[in-house]
Amino acid sequence: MGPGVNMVPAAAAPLGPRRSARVNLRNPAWLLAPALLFFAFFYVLPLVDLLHLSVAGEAGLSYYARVFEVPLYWESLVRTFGIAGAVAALCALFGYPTALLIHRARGTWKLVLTAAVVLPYFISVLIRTYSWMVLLGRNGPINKLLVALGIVDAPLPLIFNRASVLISIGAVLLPLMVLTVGSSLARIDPLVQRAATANGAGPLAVFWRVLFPQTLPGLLAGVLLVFISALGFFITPSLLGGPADQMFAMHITQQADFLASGGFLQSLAAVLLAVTLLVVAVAARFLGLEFIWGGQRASKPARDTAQRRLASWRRAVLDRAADLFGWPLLRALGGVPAWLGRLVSGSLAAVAFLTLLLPIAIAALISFSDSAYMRFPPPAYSLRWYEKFLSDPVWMSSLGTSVAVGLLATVISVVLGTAAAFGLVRSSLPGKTAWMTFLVSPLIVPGVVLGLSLYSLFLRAGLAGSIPGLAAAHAIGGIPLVLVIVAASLQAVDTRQEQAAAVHGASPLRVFWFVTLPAIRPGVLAASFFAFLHSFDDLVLSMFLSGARMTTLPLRLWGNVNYKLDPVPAVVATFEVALIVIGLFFARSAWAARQRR
Amino acid sequence: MSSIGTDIPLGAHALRAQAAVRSAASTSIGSRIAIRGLSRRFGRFTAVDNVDLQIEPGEFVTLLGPSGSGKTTLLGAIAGFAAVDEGDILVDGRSVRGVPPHKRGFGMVFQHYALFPHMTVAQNVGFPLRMAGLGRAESTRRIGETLELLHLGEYAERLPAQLSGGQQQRVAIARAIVRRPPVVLMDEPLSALDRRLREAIQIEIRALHRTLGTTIVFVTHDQGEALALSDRIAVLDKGRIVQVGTPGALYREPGNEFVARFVGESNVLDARVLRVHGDGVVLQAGEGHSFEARHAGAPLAAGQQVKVLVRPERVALVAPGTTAALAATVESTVFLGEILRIDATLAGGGKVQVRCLDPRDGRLPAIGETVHLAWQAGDAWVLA
Repeated sequence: MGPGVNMVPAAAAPLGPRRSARVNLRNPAWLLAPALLFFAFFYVLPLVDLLHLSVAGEAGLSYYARVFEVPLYWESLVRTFGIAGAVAALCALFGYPTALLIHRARGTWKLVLTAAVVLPYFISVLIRTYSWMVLLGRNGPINKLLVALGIVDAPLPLIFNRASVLISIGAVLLPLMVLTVGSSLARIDPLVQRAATANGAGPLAVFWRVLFPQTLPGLLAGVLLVFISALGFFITPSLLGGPADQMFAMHITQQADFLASGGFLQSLAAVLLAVTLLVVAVAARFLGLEFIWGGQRASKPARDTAQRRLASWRRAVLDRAADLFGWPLLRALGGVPAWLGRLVSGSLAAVAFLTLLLPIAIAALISFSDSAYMRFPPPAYSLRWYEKFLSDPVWMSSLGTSVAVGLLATVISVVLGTAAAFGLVRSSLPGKTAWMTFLVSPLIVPGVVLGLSLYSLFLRAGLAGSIPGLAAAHAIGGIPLVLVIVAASLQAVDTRQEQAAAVHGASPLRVFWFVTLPAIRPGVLAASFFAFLHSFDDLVLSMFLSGARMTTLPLRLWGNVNYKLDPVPAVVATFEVALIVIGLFFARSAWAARQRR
Repeated sequence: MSSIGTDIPLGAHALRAQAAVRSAASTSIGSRIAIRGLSRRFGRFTAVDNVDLQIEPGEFVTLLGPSGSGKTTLLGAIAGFAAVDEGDILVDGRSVRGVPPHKRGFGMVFQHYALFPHMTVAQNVGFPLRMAGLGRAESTRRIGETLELLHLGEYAERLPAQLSGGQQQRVAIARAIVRRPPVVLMDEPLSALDRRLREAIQIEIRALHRTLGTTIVFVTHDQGEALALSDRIAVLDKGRIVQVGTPGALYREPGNEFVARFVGESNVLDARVLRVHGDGVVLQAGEGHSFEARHAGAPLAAGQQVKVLVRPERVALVAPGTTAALAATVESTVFLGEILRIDATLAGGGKVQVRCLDPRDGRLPAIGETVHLAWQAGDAWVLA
């Protein structure tokens, strides 16, 4: 991978440009090297180590046998699939109309709706779960409302059951679905819809024949991303589920010492990883691996005509099915007045927005409570909890640790991720999809698997409980985020501008400095924001890697939510919302300024 | 109204006056470019196939061809973007092989302008000077001078997005010439503009070329543009140069059917050689009458089948019974404003297009009517 690869003897290409450092700037595949080395040490090596531990010593495959023989584990694996499937279905049902609503909205309204989806996406899973605990709690607003309306006499047990788990995981993952479907809607040429209308298609026909087929890959990608994410969930089910809602990843985190059980935890993690990769592999069969990073399937010509015939044969069957069943169904539905259809899809979207925003709003309200308990509505309002949060050295030191880790993780992610993006986009490397898949794969590996795999490595390397160590662990997920965003903005750079700079006297480095960097700057800034939040919000890796001495803000929140449930997390939630709103506002004004130019 | 007003250059006359002054005083600053046996392959596809071309100092040469003919690849090779598989390019006698684009010292105008969106007009135009490390005062002076030359003085502090297409195009030209480079390359620079603006900027480019005296290599697929601008045109097809010549030579004496059809409107008829005399031949098209044609190249023999070119504007409608006239049936007539286009089928088969001035009596031939067509002896050209 090093620069040496390009040191072809000059005689081999007598008339080509000289083989020198300049050529390496033209074909900068070597820029992938830092990220690949980083991943080799912090990602591949620990996973190999994890697999090794799971079969080490005399145990052999006995740990695996236990996973599949003990009903506790086996049943929770099946349950995890059930919960993930139900969550994915819920997200599709509510997310698709939401994305459609945003797609059709215009102007400020569109902005507000988009923000309503994006804002929760940036807030940590822990804080959003906490908000749901408040919302659904015994003294929470929903119970209060039901009692006040006289619908029920005593508060209902809305929490610690399967429904609360499904609703809260669904709400946490809903933005992922809406954004995925939304990006596939945004790619549709609006003139195609107009052309369909002009050629006599009614609103239903436009939807069924034009909109839906074109967004189907987006919808499927959304379903799969939600499903895969849900497979590794443990924060939300731990806090909102009952004993009967044990999800698979929870077994791994519930041990006091991660090495006490020999290799058994490792075998649990390996099973979770294998199951996740299996789902990804099946999904990639239909959608291409690009769905992982939200890219479109690269248009690959079918390898031979037989394959193409098969593909068109399959398409013909699908078309026939759509004609035979879907279309008559829709025609029947067409008898239903249009306002009813709008009402149904509008209500689904309204419910979606409510589940996205209500918890945040309630948390903000609770943060100003005067009460030491979670009472709703608060008996009186005060800044008491803000004072407590800001004056308590314990909270402040956690905040400081999180910020330090976050900044360091951002630097690592942005430097390595941006270099890798250049290496991928600008080189003539063969098999780019494979490289990209490897580099973004940490995004689909469940956090508990990563955390456990790094645990023993960090103990041995003396990285446990250190800020650089935790920052490096967070950068494993940060690098793919940066890579995806920066690669997209690099691909959007007009190469003719770079040629124009080169021909008018700019050396390759100056082309980068004067033309390329200004063009990708918004992408790099957005990527930094993402990478920072990825680290700042992380709980899972910190649980495994913080050791006894170090406590990040999410870790302290986790302890607080588990044992006390006072309004301090609501204060943190409100601060985070404010921070992100300000961030989005600046991003928007910077973006608007760019547009005006 | 106002946008058109600002786009059309008013100063072409001023430029021409300037040109006259300079050409009296200075010799050409342009470079001589020699392309020797140049080839460029992408896998099995040969984009540029063994091209030889000599471009004189200060000459305006257009690479003309349909899309995929290799003209942009050839220009890229001159600029230094594209690697070259075989052959060499000499600039003023020195090979530029291995010289990266930024060290060749050329200017270039790109399709869709390729202006730097985050820099003002002045910064865009000053970019080559900044890269060359020119001092601030001298840069400011040269930028101002160049902006004045292209009537952009008042837009110096604007960003590209705040300019119209024509203005952006002139900024791109200003950036390419600000260093007074010996060679300016232009890659379909006018393709994004509407017709009126295109014609206005053509005049401006032509005048600039005379003022500056640089060598210009211009790429286009628009034959009208090539004819209007060039000293010489190199016609490319499938990576090869099929003919090089002045616009007049290409139009009047194309070397083969491809050039005849690609440059200008054309009638290419099948004919049989009746007699050969000197550099002329007598041909017969179909069963019709015989006519004289000009000819160059390989000698012809009586009885040989040839293709012959007659430009539509050389074909006249004549009275029945005129010597050497061919009878034809009118298929369609189209009124194009300054001229009338008539498509007709010859009695012996073969389509003929006629372009003539609108008849004064206003009577247009009806569809299906039989007309008689004739042209002068020198107006038919035998294609090789």
